[in-house]
Amino acid sequence: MKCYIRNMSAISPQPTFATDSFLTDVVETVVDANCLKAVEPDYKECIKEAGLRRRMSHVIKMGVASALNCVEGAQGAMPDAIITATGLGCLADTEKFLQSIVENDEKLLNPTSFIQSTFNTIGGQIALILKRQCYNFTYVHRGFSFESAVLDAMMQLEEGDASNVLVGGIDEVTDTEYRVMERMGFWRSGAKMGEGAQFFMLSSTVSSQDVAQISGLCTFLADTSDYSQKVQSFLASCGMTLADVDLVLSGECGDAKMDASLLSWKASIPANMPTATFKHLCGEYQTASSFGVWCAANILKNQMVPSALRPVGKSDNVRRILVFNSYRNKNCSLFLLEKVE
Amino acid sequence: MGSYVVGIGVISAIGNNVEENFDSLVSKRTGIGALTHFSTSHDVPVGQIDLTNDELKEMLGLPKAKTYSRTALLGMVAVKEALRDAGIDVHAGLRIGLISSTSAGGMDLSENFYVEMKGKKDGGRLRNVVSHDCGDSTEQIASALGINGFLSTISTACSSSANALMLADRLLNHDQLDVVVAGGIDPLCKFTINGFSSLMILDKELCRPFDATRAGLNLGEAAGFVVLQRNKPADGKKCYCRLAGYANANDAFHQTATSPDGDGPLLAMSGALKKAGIRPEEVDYVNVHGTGTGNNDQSEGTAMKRLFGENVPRFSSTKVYTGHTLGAAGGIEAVYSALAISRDVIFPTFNFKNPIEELAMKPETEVIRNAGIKVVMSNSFGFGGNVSSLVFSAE
Repeated sequence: MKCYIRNMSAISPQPTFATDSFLTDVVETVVDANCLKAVEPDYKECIKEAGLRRRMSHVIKMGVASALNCVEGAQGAMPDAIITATGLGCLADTEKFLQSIVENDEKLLNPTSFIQSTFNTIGGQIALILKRQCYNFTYVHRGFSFESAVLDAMMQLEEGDASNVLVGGIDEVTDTEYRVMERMGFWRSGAKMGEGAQFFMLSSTVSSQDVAQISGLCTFLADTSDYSQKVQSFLASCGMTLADVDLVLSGECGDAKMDASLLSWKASIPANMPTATFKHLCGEYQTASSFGVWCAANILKNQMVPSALRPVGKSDNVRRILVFNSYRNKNCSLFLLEKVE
Repeated sequence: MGSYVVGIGVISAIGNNVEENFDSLVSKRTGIGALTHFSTSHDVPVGQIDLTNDELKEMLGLPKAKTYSRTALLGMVAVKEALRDAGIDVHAGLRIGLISSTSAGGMDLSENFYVEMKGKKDGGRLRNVVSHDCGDSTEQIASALGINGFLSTISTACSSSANALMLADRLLNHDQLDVVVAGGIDPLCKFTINGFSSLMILDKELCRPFDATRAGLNLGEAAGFVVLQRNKPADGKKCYCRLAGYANANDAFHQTATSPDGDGPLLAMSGALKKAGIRPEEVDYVNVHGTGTGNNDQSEGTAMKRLFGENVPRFSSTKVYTGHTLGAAGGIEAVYSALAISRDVIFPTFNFKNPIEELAMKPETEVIRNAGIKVVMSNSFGFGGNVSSLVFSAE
């Protein structure tokens, strides 16, 4: 199974939206050292209908704007399937409705935040705006959410029911979540929370302007003891070995405990294997791997590894990138991306 | 496409296992009644599972001191039953996946955490919030029952678990897994009761699906799972039916309401039949979404008329027994559909009286045995325009 990235779009804590530059103006200073908030575009430009836009919460706006931007630049491709992924969904709306239950003692509640709290709100809004009655799914499984969405899309493309599939990973940070994570000591050794919305138009056929090719992915729980074996068999299923990979792009969050499985694997690979990391730029969240895939595709397209991704080892002529993501030392995923030849 | 249902498991307001559910269904015994597990200011009947969390833990042999979301506990009961029913040994080296779905996730615990933490720096117990996300229950179930293959969780409101079955079948077709346990779970919680109450679609009495006097739905809690495998089981091995076809579409009409002419539901139903290679007139029974809200039943009925014309098959809504179990609805109704085929019976919407004038459709009101059920359609429609339809057939 493989597919082509026709176009992609990212709203992230970095200036990644609607720009040709690739992580050249990285935002080093953030309001709070433990939390990376998205650099938001002018939503008036992206979501034209004012009434609709006003009702949308932060995460819905991020998701919808990123999705519409992705479709707009997709060389005329319209999605035959819309698949969204989110770890916590419309968290602010969920909290708002909970708060109103408490404050109003369960009486005379405004349903808007309840309606918008459902996990499939963004997917539904995209369908509504694009007027697409096609297949519409929302995955909500922690660090497997975006992975499930891409797997589903690749199966759709192979089944032939769809030629173009819109796939996105979206999550937001809220103050409550921030406080909860702080109490859990989530970032004690330097991890940051983050948010973002990355969308991809995946296609079954190649086109000259494609950004990159996704050649495979797999997921596994971090309790697996032999990560090298996992990586090896994954690459073998793509007809490769680690020697065929030109760059490893990994998603450690900065907390050694949470990164244990990923770091133990990285310690086992040849010392001359070029590596880079991405999570210090987007922060940690359930669907952060979508930012990793966005970075990998951009590296393949631009044929350069920006210094912001902290590259180690020389990597010119990057044809294949292995993205290794881990979420809370539990959900691990591997993506193989290749340059479109 | 065309995987086989080789095991089923369910816990709902009408029983803690498949046999208890079946017995209630053929005895016209509803599970809708008073809510006793927590307090709310809304005076509405619900489909509550009477076992408390502690009783569920005891039943599952889990430590009482450990905190589990009710979602995880209900899911474990149903998945355990389904695996046992299918005779699956999780240690036999098969690639076993779990595709679960839920709309509330661990909200039954986190809504309490939220109240306790308000205005206090250290308010609330963290153990009540770690299971908030939807993936938690899936991982808890997998870990408790030794499922070590692909895990995923879907949340598309009330169509969630129908979508879980769809994904499961596709994963089998792509040879990603050997066996998949698929279904969904939702517990009752304040959040959803208040949510549906704020939409003013909760009936204060027993819901009346497809009735002209219908005044809304009853919420219920449940977990329902099926075990699917790609190959036809050997002779003598258990096999309920085949998942012959399915379709997922988006109504793209409104964030919560379904279109009045049922465009989305029609796309889902006709798409599922097309995929199954089954003609509308071959459908023997439809387990309708039939929530009892003004909007759903009108829209679903209109779509059925458009699909089936004047020859609408026998149909019923089992939500008069269980309530609307949201993310679990497609899962438990898949179990009921499997029972309808394998035991050749239709479960009635026993309280139906007055047809909706413009539809003039009448659900079955009596138990029908030896009804010759070979093909069953099961509908699940939800917020966000998500509409799904499954078609099951006798082997």
